[in-house]
Amino acid sequence: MSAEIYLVGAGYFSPTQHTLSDVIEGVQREPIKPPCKLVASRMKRATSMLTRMSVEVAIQATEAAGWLGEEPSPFAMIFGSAHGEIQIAIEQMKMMKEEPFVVSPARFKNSVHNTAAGLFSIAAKNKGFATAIAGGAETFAMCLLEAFSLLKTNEAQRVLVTTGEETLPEPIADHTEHDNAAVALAFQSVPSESAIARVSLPQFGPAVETEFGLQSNHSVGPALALLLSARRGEFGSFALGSRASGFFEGSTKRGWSLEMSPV
Amino acid sequence: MTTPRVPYPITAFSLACSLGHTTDACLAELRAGRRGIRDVPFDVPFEANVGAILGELPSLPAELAAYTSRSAQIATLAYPEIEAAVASAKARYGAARIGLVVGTSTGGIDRTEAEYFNYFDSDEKAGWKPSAAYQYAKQHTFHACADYVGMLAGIEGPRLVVSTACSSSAKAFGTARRLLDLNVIDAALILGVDGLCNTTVRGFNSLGVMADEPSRPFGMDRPGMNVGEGAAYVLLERESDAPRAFLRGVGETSDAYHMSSPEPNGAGAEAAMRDALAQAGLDASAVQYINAHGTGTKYNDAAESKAVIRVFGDEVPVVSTKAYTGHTLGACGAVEAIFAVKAIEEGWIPAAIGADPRDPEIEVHVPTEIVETQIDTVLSNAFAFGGNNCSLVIGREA
Repeated sequence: MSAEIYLVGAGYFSPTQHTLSDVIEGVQREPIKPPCKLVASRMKRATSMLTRMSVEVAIQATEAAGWLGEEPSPFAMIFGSAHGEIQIAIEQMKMMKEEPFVVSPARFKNSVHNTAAGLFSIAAKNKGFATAIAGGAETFAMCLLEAFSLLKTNEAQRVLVTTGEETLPEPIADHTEHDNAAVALAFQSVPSESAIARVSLPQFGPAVETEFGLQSNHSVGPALALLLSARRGEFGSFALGSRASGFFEGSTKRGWSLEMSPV
Repeated sequence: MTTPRVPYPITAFSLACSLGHTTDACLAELRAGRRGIRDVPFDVPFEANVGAILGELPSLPAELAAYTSRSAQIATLAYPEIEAAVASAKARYGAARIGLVVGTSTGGIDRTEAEYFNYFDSDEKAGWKPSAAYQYAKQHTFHACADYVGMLAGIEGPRLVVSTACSSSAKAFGTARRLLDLNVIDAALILGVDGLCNTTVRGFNSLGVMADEPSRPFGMDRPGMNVGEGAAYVLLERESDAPRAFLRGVGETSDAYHMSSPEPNGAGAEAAMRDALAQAGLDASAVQYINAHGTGTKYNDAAESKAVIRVFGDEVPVVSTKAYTGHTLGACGAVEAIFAVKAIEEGWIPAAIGADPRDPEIEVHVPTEIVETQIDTVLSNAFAFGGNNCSLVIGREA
């Protein structure tokens, strides 16, 4: 069993940097909502920034990989986020305490952690595997483990991994500061012409120093660091997250990491 | 073409839900035909019945008390029963080779609700200032309960949360099995857990599917569902000299249809069931009992019935234990996997309480009395918002 998979597509979105190229080139744009071009307007209603960003990067990555438009849609879908739909959660609590004391059904149905997975599956007409994962600071690492296991057990030959976080509402924001952002990576078990990098099975061990601090954006930070390095042709060991008791406590001396190499 | 997968032994389990605080207590109520359905234990502006756990929930150990939420307390309630099996697994494989896969839909959201509601009910309008005891990261987040249980159990392998609403802990079995296949672990502790909270009780009420009486899955004029709560641990190992049963198949599909309504013909559910059977290397005729998702809502039960009919026909007994426990949301996959194992071990199928008279549109066989019979294979369904489907096949033999 080969312990490597191939990165064949990528996506990135934040309100002011709409693609990975914007990040690489340092371009700052006027803030916009994620366009999510495959998603019908009525489906976008009452969805969060997190869901829209996650769906947007999923579209970017699968389009770059050449996977979109094929039927039946041939890839598994993993959507990661440490915090999930926290904005809607707090908004619902406010609804419960204000006249008429009822929760909006449209908001409630979009309040689950797998909202983006469901919305994207509908937009992409993908009736296959879909999951939604959380793991605190290790969210991205756990998404990659799931991707590896799907590919190496032949449950899928292609796997989309997204990870995204939206800003936290007050006063939860005191716990961590980060911006709205989402990243997507398209992996497959065999190389292709569009392959960007070769990625090894994540390992738990001594932490690897990385340019992007995990505090910047828990699940997105390490994912973006990996993508930027791949685009720049900078290969080697990469940190994926650290084991800690809660987000900010405990040692960061051990954590998940992987090796990335050229194809 | 799906090929048969490696079966893994289920070696231990434990359960706490509205039926009781231990697996045996829950099974005794199930066998006696008594429901754990009662009034909502907190104020809501409507009438509803839920599957609430009775009695005081235990405190967390003092050194981990900062992780307190209702879900963490329910997880604490169910843990002692499986503690010895986890200790044995640690001794056998080492703590770093045991993974923890938690399925939950809301984590510890009740803690934030309590803080937020206190603020609204107070005279303080300058802004929400949670109490000193409130710690979002250790109480509310998805990973909070996973971190807590990981530390409680002293297991150090991969630790993650699958949160796909009502299929969460069913899918945790799939994730756990793949981690075993990938050889990054030798055992997985699966936990399905969700505590009652305002968000889900009021949310499902807003969708018009909460019942103000005990639910009646597959019954005529069924009133809807009862949200429930519970914690269910299942230990899955690479090998065992004393397996309780085997995880044979995990089918995972999407409807790609609607965010909160099932595809009316149950196509996604059918695909999940067929995939689970194929992974088990079994024909549909091998299944003697189907533990239905069976929420008790009009459309969910109808879609599931259509899917089951196409795969299994109309002779296999189909029962929803949610009539007893309420719908334990993210916990239901693991809760009902335990009922599946017990059906195999003890040779009986619970009575489909409330299903008499049956909805004439429901064509599957819904036994309204306990069925005593040899059971070697059970299929258990869990379906969720986002059109997320998961079917487990659990068998007596590998």
